[in-house]
Formats: sequence, C-alpha cells, structure tokens
Amino acid sequence: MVHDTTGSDLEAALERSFSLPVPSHSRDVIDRRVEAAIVCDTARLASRGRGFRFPRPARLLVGVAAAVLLTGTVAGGATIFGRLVGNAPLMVNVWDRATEINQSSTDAGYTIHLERAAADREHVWVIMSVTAASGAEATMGRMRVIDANGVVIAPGTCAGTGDVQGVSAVLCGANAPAGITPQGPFTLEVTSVTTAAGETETPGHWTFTFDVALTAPFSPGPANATAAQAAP
Amino acid sequence: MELTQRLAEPLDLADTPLDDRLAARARNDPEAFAPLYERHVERVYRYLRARGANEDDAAELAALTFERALSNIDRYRPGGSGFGPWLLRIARNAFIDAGRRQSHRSLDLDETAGLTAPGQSPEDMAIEAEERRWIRSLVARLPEVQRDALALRFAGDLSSREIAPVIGKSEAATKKLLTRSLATLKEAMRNGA
Repeated sequence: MVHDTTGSDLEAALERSFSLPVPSHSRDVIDRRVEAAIVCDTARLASRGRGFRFPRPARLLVGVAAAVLLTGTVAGGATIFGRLVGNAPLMVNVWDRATEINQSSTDAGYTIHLERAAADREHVWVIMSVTAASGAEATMGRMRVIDANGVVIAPGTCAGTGDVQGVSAVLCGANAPAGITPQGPFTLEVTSVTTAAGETETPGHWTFTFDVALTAPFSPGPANATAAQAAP
Repeated sequence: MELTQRLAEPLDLADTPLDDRLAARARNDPEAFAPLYERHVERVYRYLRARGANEDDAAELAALTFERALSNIDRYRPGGSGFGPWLLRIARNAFIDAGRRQSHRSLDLDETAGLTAPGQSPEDMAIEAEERRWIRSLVARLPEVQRDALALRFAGDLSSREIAPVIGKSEAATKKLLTRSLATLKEAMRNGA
C-alpha cells in the first residue's frame, strides 16, 4: 500500500473504496419498491378527476405506498372495480389475470368483499371492496397474506378508489420474502379499516381463504420489464 | 393510456439531456421513470453506503429516494444542475432524516473488504480489500461535512459544480472543501494513520 500518495492516486483509491456494487438481494428490494411506486403513480394518473395520495400514516397501514383515486361520483354504469382498474394497463393486467374469488366477511359494521386474487412467484394480489353498514367512508387498513406454509407475505403496495358513494375498492400487491415462492391456499387477514384520510382506524377481523394457481410473472409494462431485466 | 395531467405547454426537448427528457416524460407517464431509475440506482446506493448506511439501510433509503423522486417529479426543473444532483439531494435528505430517527450502525469496515472485481488474483484481492478498509477508516475520521462532500464526489460521481447546490455551498467553497478533505486524508496517509 502506498502511504506517500499523489492526489490522483488518492482520488483513484477513494473511487475504488466507494465503488460498492448493489447486492442482488438489496437490488431486488429496491426494484420492487420502485416498481410499486410506478404502478401506483400510473394508476393515479389514469384516474379520472382529482387524484391525491394518502397521507403517510394511512399509507403505512397498507404498506409502502398507496395511491388513492378519488373519483367523486360514480359514472353511469361503472362498477367500483371498473373504476378501480380504470385504464391503467398494469392494473388491467392484474385484473384480467386474477381469479374470481367472490367471498365476503362482515365485522365491526364493515363488510369486506374479496373480489379477485392472483399470484405469481413473487407476489400475491388481492382486489377487495370495503363497505360500511353506516354508510361511513371507509377503506382498507391493515392486512396480510399468509401462504400454505405459514409464510407471511407482507403488503407492499395498494391502489384504491377512495370512498365512492359508500364503497371503496382497493388492489393490493403483497410481496413474498426474497427467494420464497408463495404457495396456496392463501389466507388473507384484514385486521382494520380506516377512513380514507387514515385519521380513524377501526379494528376488526375479516379472514378469507382462497387458492389461485401461480401465473407467469406479472410484467405487463415497459417499466416492469425494465426492472425485471436489470435484476440480477 | 388515458392521462389526466398534461403539461400546459409542449416542451421542446430535442436538445436536452436524456435525464431531463425522461424526467419530463415521467410527469405524465410514470413508466418513463424506470430508465431514470436504472441509470441512477447504483450511484444512489453507493452514496448511501459511503455515508455509512449498512446494506439494509442503504436499500431502504435508496428505495425511499426513488419513491420521493417519482412523487415529486413535477418539481424537478430540467436545465438546472441536473437530475443526478437532484436525486442525490433527495438521498442525502433521506439519510439525514433517518439519522435523526435512529442512529445508523457504523459501517462495518470488514463488510466491504471482500468486494472485489472478478478475475482478481487472491493477492490483489487481499491488497484491495486492505486498501478499502484503510481508506474508509481514514474517511470515517473526517468531519461530517467533509465525509459528505467526498461521498458525493467519489460515490455519487458529482463534480464540484454539481455538489455545490446539494450541500448548499458555492462552487468555490465546495472546491475548497474537497481540496481540504483530500489534503487531510493525504496527510493522514503520510502519517500512516
């Protein structure tokens, strides 16, 4: 090692010292988060009317990021799920490939309806609606998916409609731990609902058991494809 | 794709840098953010590691940096100091915010010792690992502001002109800061610290 070094030697040594590559598991974490953010932002932009994001406390309830598509009133004939999926290609892709589950569970005055679900080797996707018996505004709060082997698949990203005439719909993607392929049947546990702005959280217990076949990886758009290709 | 937010006026982006063109597109088409991410993820991660974040923290903060960048892409002004410096400023703020919430584990210097290029001989690998460890231990003794400037320069790959707005100093002051930091390091090396 050269102790009496020139300026350029030192600069080269600093560059070498700081040139730390991103480990594959770290890159995977970052890829997933950025991919999810792009999906949410795409959904937000594709919505009609005014769009905004959940304030951070509420976003944390459902995972890393949640995009809310506040739509005002329901357009003639459009279902809440049609409104949810809208024209966002990534969400349309998940919706089209998801399996119809059609289960409902009611607790604490709220009914949660699990409309569809899908899974690939890295994610489990659930598409749900929340309705309050009182007509109060409500959306998804805390949730998790557990696979057949007891692996907890943490919620990653959700995109939702916000309250639309007493019902809200949400699409959540749960990320399997690195290196683990989710295996059905799956249990979806929802343990709270919140108001759209997230200031009030109501605990409860809504449980669903469902099974879906693993599909090919979801790589519906260029953004997703780019991230997937770059991942080691 | 139906878009509800469109730029008020079309932008002529033919002669603008690629980053600026992608950033402008990403305002209306978030998928255009993906190549920006690909182009900058390594330098953001390197910068965070150089600041002392461990692998997990650096991954978390890098992800947070890009999430914040995407959600604030409307605030990025093409033609300014550039997308890279803007992104590293977000990363720097994220690192500082995280530091306020929790004290970061100091970088385990041995953690980086085994990082070497493929094809190196065992002897070269050992020498390089030792050098990494030694340099980083010297940098770790510098004042915070100097460590930050060196991380932006050598991990973030920014010039003095680009570092200046990130750390809130003039270009001249930034050059002096870097020169002083390098001189201190050189002196430490001479002394065999």
